[in-house]
Amino acid sequence: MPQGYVALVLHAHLPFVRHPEYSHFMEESWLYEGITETYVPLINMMDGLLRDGVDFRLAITVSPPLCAMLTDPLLQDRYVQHISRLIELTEKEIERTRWQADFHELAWHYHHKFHTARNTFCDQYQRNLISAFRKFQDAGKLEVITSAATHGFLPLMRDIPQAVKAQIFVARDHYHECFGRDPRGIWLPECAYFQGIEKVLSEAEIRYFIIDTHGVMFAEPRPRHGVFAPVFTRSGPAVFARDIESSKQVWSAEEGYPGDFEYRDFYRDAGFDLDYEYIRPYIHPDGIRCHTGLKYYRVTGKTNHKEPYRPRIALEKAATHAGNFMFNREKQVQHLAGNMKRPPIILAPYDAELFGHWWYEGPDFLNYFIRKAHYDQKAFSLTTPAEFLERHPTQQIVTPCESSWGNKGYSEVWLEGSNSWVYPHLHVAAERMVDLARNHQHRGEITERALRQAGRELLLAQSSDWAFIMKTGTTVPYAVRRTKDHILRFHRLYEQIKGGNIDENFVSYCEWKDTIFPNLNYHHWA
Amino acid sequence: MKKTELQAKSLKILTALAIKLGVKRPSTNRKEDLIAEILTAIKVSKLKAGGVKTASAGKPPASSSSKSKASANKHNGAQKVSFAARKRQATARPGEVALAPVPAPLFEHKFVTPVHPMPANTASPYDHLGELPESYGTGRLFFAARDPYWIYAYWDYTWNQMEEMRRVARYGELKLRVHAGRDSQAPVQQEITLNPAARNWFVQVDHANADYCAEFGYYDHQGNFITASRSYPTHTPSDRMSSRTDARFVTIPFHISFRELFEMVKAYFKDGEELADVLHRLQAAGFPFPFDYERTHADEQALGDMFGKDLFRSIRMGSDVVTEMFQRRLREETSSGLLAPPSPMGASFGAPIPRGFWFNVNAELIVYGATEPKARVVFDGKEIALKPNGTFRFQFALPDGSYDMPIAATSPDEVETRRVFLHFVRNTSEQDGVGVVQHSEGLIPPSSSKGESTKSE
Repeated sequence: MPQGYVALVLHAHLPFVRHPEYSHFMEESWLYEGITETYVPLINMMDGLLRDGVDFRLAITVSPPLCAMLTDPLLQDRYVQHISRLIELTEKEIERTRWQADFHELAWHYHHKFHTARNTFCDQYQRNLISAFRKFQDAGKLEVITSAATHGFLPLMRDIPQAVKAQIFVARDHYHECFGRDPRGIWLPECAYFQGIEKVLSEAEIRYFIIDTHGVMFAEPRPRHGVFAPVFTRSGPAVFARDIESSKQVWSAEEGYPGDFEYRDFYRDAGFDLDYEYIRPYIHPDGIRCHTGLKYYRVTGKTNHKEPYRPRIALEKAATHAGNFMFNREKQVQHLAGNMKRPPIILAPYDAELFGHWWYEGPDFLNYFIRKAHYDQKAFSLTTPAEFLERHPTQQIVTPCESSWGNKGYSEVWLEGSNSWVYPHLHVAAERMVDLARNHQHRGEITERALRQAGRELLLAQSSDWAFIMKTGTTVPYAVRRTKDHILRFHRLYEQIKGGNIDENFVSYCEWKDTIFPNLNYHHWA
Repeated sequence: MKKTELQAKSLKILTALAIKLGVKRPSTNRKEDLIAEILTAIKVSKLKAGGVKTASAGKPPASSSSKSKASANKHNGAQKVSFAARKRQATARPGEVALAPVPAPLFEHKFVTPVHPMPANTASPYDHLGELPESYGTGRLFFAARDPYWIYAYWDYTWNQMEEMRRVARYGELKLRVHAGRDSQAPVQQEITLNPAARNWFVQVDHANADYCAEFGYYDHQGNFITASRSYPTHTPSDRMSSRTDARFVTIPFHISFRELFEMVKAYFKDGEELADVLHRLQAAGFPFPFDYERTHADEQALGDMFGKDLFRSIRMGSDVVTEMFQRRLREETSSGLLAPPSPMGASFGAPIPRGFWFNVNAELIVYGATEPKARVVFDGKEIALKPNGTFRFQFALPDGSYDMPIAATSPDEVETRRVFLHFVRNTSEQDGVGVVQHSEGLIPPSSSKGESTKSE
């Protein structure tokens, strides 16, 4: 009998980026990089664990937009083209680096990696990685949870309850389509909690959600066991909060593992380093240099000087760090169990894309940790939030504190000078959607299509990613354009539906561009 | 790097290495002296990098690596970490609720794409739907707490509507009135005279964990406050642990749906109660549910004892400590924002992009040629695929050294063979910190690069 539990929760999410109107679109590469560097390595890891009979538990959010992109035929085709181009590049790199032994070995390393990615994607899972996640879930090893439909920042929608409800219920419906069952847990977008969301989750039969540490620590009344036991909200859904200690070891720029000097450096990429004419076929068609995924250097140190990456040494380091992580969890569990007189749970949530994309060795770290936890210790068992609640259904009732996992812990990241302009538009659009859902009975197929599309445009505009990008100043023009385009399309559809003069060509055009949630139920806004 | 390794290198390479390590003018041509200078430079650079590792069991050897990431984050405009925050290192033993200082985030974005112009819209007229309106004139007053001490307000009025109000307002002033309570009967906490062009406002308030609401309006010429719109109430979140330490426990079996549970107890709801409240009250009274629950007649204290004592008391950590930790997070404008950063796109484990003057030079080798499309070409012992027009092109990294490259083409009928033997030597010397091998984005290749590369022969 273990003294406690550790639950790893990975949050896999990307905004819905799909541009059929262009043959190549830079931001679509977020998905392709995610597939190659994170989702496929995680899937390969889980297949290996199954093959070797390791009884593991892991929870992962596959957000609805990510789910939609992973099952989209256009993006699947484009990914195959993308990875095939990279394989071609590695073939050239194997030749180019023939007189540089370190780089030559790395060129082969990437060649194998990209081949594996293509094989996993194309042959093993027939281009549909959701089927992989579903397989692991059906095997009882992985718990897939959902997020809000388009990762909308829910606290700032609360004045229009139907907008919140639609984000949750559309996500639930979509999850059911993808995984053949209803979701039992949800990752609230940005871990942003507001009082009242639990009621909506309860209606959707979602049994738990995850928030940041202070969301439970500052709960009313004080949680007796801090974040080391879930709590129930008054409406019924349980809340799990992040453990700081385990987060810090992985996340922290001050103390985290991923910055070890032996690990692969993220920024040095062949897309920027190599001769322009040579690399040009593998960067953006307009000639803009970008990341290719071929990165030849290790972190090395704090200066700009970089030494060649050494995968074998990095792998050993990942094993050492996994052992260290396990050791610390053992001590943590033993210490807590002695004080709590019940098995504590340590919930360690991370952005999934940290593993593999940013921290190249992250999937190896996870693999080592899961195997070591299975074979090398007895203090704790790996679990999932649902499994823990099945075993421990008696918990304290509290009202959590409004919070998010953004900078400073509340809403500032998504509500400040750079992005506050979006909310008047989002609120008016949401109110208009409620009006449409309530006041327009079925009047033929074209109206139904227009109503569904209006819902899609509103949901896409509500994605928290746009406000986040505006705040952090990365691809701001794109985020602004996406926000405006979706709202403008929504208003055009609204006016046409209200005026009874729906332009079918326009509806078709929007359906062609914004394909998310083909079976969307607009009655969720009623 | 060890002394024996250095001794194996040539004087030329050692000189280059010394320059690379920042020995600006190697003071000697004697190999042993040069090696001594290099070893000193390596030692200094390790000390500067904090590279002396003192990892012990149970602790990650991370201290040396952290600085590179912190500096990288700073470079990216991600949150900065104050020196003071860095000094407050974790002192908690494994298992203690983290008293550790707030870690800086590892990265701020999930993915990075370079800055690039938005592609032009396609030809479809549906791509040009105009601009968003400045306002809609709905009269909504939105008022929402952003954090414990700031509330965001916007009012949705058209320019004409605002002008109309200003016309009848005393001094032409529009006001935002903030009440410390859930409705406009509550005391006025502050009244803000709005800038005529303002459409939103961030309002600072005094209390966390408190109710506020707002009115948008103006004073008429008789001095009466005219309310144009009222907000919903908002509640500023807490910034500390609750002083309430009472505890209610409830069993909510996971395998029974909320709907079924609701059906079981719907006749017993009292005003204001929610599902967990009713289940708790009935379980405390011993209600016969069709599932096991943890207690029957014991009181809350007994149940609490069954689950252990208050964790914070038992590990001797008061609420003040926890609260201080989180409040520091909120206060520290220059700090990272404690825990993880969320959502999509960018940051760094690597080093910042260098500042100031720089110079990178590299030489690669391009070998290209053509023959009959169906000919067989063997390149350094390996048959290569020709393009459909019979051409081929290879590019090679060319580090210092001497290289031979035999190439042979055999006619499709296997009768004739032509052979080329290429020989290359690269011998580089650098001075004053010239970058060594990698291209950077700013290094534009000369238009005649192919021709120049082949001149290496």
